[in-house]
Amino acid sequence: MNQLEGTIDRIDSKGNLSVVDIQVGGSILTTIVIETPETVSYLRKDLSINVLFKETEVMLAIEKPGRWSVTNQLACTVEKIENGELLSKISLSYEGHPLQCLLLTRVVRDMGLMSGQAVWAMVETTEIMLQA
Amino acid sequence: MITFDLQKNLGDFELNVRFELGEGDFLTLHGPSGAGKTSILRMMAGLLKPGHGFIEVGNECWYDSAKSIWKKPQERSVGMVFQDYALFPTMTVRENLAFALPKKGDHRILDELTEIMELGGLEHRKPSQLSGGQQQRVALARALAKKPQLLLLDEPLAALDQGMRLRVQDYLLDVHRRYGLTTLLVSHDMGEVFRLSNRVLTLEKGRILRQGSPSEVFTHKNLSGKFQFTGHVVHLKQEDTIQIVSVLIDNHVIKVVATPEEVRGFAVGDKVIVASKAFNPMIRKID
Repeated sequence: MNQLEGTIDRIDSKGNLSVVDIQVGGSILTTIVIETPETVSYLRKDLSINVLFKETEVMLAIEKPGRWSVTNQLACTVEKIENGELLSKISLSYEGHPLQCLLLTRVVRDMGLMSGQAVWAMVETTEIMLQA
Repeated sequence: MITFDLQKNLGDFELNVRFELGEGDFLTLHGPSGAGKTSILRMMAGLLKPGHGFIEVGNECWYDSAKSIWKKPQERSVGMVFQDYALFPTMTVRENLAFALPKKGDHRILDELTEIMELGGLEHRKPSQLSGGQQQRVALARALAKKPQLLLLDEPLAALDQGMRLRVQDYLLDVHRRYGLTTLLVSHDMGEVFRLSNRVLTLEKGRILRQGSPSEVFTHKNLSGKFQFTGHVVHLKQEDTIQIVSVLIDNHVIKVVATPEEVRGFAVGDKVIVASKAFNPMIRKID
């Protein structure tokens, strides 16, 4: 599980749902949770929180995506690639923090991914969990 | 409303619990062996006298140390089921049930319980001619024959295999709702706790450690993922660059894909939490 520490920047709640913006380094990550500031103590502006997302849910792009529905975009550097027969593990660095991503080996080959390369890592809003 | 405040020296420790139960509550007492769970059940039943405190059930007082009130087991409206079925071996199923009926009791309740617990056809058998699950259904029916205000269950399903345990849990849930019972259960089985109870007390050395709904007490409240289960690792296998972890949750084995780093140090038998967001699983109606 990828884990980054951030600070809650904004919370928009309606009913039992909240859209939460978290400042993580120089980027904002957004998630949606079935909690509100009334139901849990960790949903407070300026509170420090861990952002969790699975390695299998990370998408990579070589150029910065333009008008994409996935707004969670982190500028990363490829540190290491471990090729399996079907799946490859890509170790990334986001502002010095390690992240991992699992991609099909054939996709890694087709994209021409190499260590040292600059990439954009993306995560869907619905794939991010919060941990206080 | 049932309120109890029980204090007693139990040798190794001092039992000290105070709790309020609403009508229709299904409360599980959870905690390590020797935490005082069975003692609480025995005190509620009138089988063990507390040192101090009181027990109030509705407007009735069953125990009050200050007023020297102590009602005997037969004066309390309780039904009890234990792990050992404790049926009368020489009596048939029907005779076992009838024995529990109050003197002027209505025999129709026995017919109703026989139907709900699906004991029809077994009525003339002796306990030794029944399976463990059947015996426990008889014990449960017997406990309900006098329509108790409080049902006390001490690991009633611990001796049953998983399939039978789930079926008896269904019966339990059915009668709990149907008769509007208030139930106190001692159980170590996490699946059972989640399936049956709406409230949990975690005890340690006679004191309440945590209380709340099962998900409040047992799930990781600080984790936002709503698709959360606890289970035990049954298998770990490296496949290509990933690990596939099989986890037994209740009686289902599920698989989780993990990175080798994530599961380093994991071993078969380890207790784990499996979490995902509520946005991810698909749901579909089945017949």
